[in-house]
Amino acid sequence: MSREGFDRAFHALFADRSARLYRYVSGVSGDTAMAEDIVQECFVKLYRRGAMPDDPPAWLVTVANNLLRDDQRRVSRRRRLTLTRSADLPLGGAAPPADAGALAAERIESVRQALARLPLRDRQLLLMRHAGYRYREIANALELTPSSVGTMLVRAGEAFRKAYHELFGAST
Amino acid sequence: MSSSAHPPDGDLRALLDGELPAERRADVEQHARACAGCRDRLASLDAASQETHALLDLLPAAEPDLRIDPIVRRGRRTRVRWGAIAAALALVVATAAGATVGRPYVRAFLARIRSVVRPTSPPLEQPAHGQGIAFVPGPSAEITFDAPQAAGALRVSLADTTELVIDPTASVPYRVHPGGVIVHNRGSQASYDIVVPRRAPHVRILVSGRVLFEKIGSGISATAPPETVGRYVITLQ
Repeated sequence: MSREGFDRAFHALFADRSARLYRYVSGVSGDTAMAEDIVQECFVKLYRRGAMPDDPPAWLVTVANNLLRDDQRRVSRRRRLTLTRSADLPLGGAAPPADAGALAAERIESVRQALARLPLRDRQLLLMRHAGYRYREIANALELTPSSVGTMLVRAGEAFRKAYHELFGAST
Repeated sequence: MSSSAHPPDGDLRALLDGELPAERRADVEQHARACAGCRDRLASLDAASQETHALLDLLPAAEPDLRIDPIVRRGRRTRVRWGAIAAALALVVATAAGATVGRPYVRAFLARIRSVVRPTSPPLEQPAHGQGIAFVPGPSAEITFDAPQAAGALRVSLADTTELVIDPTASVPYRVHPGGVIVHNRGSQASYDIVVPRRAPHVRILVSGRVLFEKIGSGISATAPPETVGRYVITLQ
């Protein structure tokens, strides 16, 4: 593919897939600002690559997953430090008011925690599908066979909903 | 697949998602038309899938500020490959040195580089009497005397300094390395005043392979009892 051809394909891919990739990354990371950075970094890497991979959407997700993993290591360390620090602080404080806003926040938190309870592969699977990725793209990005994606989605979905109902049921 | 065999959940889910390959889809659809149980299962999987998506929709997803121009600008920018630059520089220096090694100005130049880059690690030195050796010990420092001596002593004291000082009463050659100092004392009868920084985490003094003094943190073990607080006199015989 010529450079002009690559540039055209790159622009088309960005228009078609950047929002979907962002949706997936923000779901996995829970951090919209970081998701923007990661999506940009993925496309910068693709541009520098100068050639389209066999499955560009799956390639972008693979790069995003690698960046997320690197970032997760840093976050884990920060979280450990924060937890150590927080342990020094006095406990207590008023409970949040049980209004509609608090309830919605509680539901969102339960969704996040339910996702966090899942194995990484299940979380990636659910969030990729939720972002609109095709089975073939999911299989390529997560190194699965396309015929196993449906079964794995069913199982991951069941585990996710069960965890959510345990969490949200317990908190309300 | 026979149309009488119940399709697995994965196929039903793929059917609902429009992801079942055409050749299987016909079979599964034909089976579902004739099988009330599979129709119920399809409905149940559909409801479960909708609930999953509804829950995931709760996650906040602000509209991203993604623009392609800054990405392309960054993509066009040449990356600085420091590793490659360092390797290229090393190659140039090595080639130049190889081509001209032996010339006096190259030897002088290399000696100058060594003295600048590794000031604490001279090949072998002879301290002027009264000056001694001083260095800042790392996490673990070892002072090694090559040989036992017929006479002489180590006078080791702790002080609130940063440098470890070895002050011999006679000139003795030594070599400083990253882990400490080797004193080539064979045939010498010198004594050594050694000042160990109190904050040094680990210092060991060995004579001919035998540990005569060791400080780990604030704990000290020595082959002689302290003469006064924080001062040990250890004979070298």
